[in-house]
Amino acid sequence: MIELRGVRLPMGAGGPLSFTLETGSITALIGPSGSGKSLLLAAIARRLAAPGDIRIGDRPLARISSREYPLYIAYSDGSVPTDPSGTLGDYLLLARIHLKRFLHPFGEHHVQALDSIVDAFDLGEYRHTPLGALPSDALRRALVACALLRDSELLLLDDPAAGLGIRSLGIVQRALARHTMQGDRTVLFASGDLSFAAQTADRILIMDGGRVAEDLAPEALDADIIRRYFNTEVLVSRNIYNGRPEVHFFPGT
Amino acid sequence: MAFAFLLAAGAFAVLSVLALGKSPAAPLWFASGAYACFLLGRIDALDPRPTPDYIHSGSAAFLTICALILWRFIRMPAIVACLLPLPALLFEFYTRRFLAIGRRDMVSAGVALNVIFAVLTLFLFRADPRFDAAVISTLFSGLAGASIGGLAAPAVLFFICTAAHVFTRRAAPELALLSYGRAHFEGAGLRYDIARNFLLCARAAFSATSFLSAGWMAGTAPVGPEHRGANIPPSRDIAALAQYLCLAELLLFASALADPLIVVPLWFAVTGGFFLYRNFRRIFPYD
Repeated sequence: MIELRGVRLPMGAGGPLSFTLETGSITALIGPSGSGKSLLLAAIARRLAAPGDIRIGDRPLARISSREYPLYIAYSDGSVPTDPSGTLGDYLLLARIHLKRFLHPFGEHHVQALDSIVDAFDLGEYRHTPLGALPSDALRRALVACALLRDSELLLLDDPAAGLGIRSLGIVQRALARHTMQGDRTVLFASGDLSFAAQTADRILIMDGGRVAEDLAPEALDADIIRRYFNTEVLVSRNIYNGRPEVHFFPGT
Repeated sequence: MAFAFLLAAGAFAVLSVLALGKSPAAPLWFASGAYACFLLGRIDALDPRPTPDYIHSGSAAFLTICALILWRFIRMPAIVACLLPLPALLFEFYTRRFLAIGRRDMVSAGVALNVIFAVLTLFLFRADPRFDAAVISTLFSGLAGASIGGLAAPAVLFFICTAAHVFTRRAAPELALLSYGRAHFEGAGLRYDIARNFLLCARAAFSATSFLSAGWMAGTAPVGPEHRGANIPPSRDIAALAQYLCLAELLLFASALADPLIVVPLWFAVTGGFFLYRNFRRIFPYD
């Protein structure tokens, strides 16, 4: 269980944030631009100092050492690696570096974990391709795959759907569902794609002005709520397979 | 290929000692300097953008100026040699940490420092009648030209470089992660600032070792093979090292035939021209 109590984001009028994420759940943060979604993820990932109490299980976040950090938290803010010369396979394998001994090579089980994530994200054809030569869609998938490969208790993703094609959205959606299937891993992601958020998450938190304005089930997301917080008119239909909302724009408005 | 380079390095070393009367320690000093310069290149290889070596970045010019100043007050080569790693450390932290100048700016800063050094040297030649050009000649060839004899010191230095090389190969995953940036390094629970400071200290140690051992003649990076990234295959790594050793021994041989005051400016012009030709037309991803 991940618990936030009285967390204040450094954004002026934002109120204290308090909520709990159940272990094994997938939660989406949505909200208008500048509402504090990315700041909240950065605060939980310790990239940003924010007063308040954050606990992972029974451990306060502040008490988690640097060495233990990757066991608890994997965070991807979508930043691309600065060195584009390494191959995708090498880059992904490095996500497991905290699980190997210093100055020792990666073990066979790490390579097997890499193989399975490469298959799950359909990245096999790019395995030996330098990062700088990857199509942007594959690079975006690789960033999510890298965060998943860390095998941390809490996975934080900032806009994992950004720049993904329709096929890749499905791949990422399935991978996140599989990641939490055992019930011991938790996912919290921010997304500007409301359909992706509604189709992927078990729960939606709507951020507004640095606070959680709504806490709802994905099925409850409708045009009124979107108008209220996003100040835009949309049409919300229902996915015929799971009844969850699909958000559409009115053409020409 | 590596074997051919090593054979050539050995031949130049033997010729320098037997035919041209160099001290037996001189080839070993040059080998240590070239090895340190190679390791400097391995650190630079973590950055995807091209990097000037310790000569073209201005580090050697700065250390030479520091050595000249120290020599004014302390007339003992061994003491001056022991003190020089400190300005090397200052240079690395000032340029790469405090100023945090980019790689392209590093080339411009290097040109500026080298011009300052050239002007200073000309000024000393003209203004100070007591100024001995042999001091510059000695600084150009490092401890190999400073009559500090004995095989033990350069042998120990070579061994330390070998150990550092083994370490860089074993730590290749950690170094590769460092090259992906702060977010990726810290995400793995590693301390980015500590690692960066450690690398700057290593850079200072290797540039000081290159300068002290072989003066301005260990820097063959701009003409050497260019492998970027941390995961360089062992065969390429050994071939690159062999090329560094071969070029250093060639320069020792050349400096035994002609004065280092002639060899070094020529080598500086060739390597500088080659570096500019190779790198100034490239396009760098994310740059």
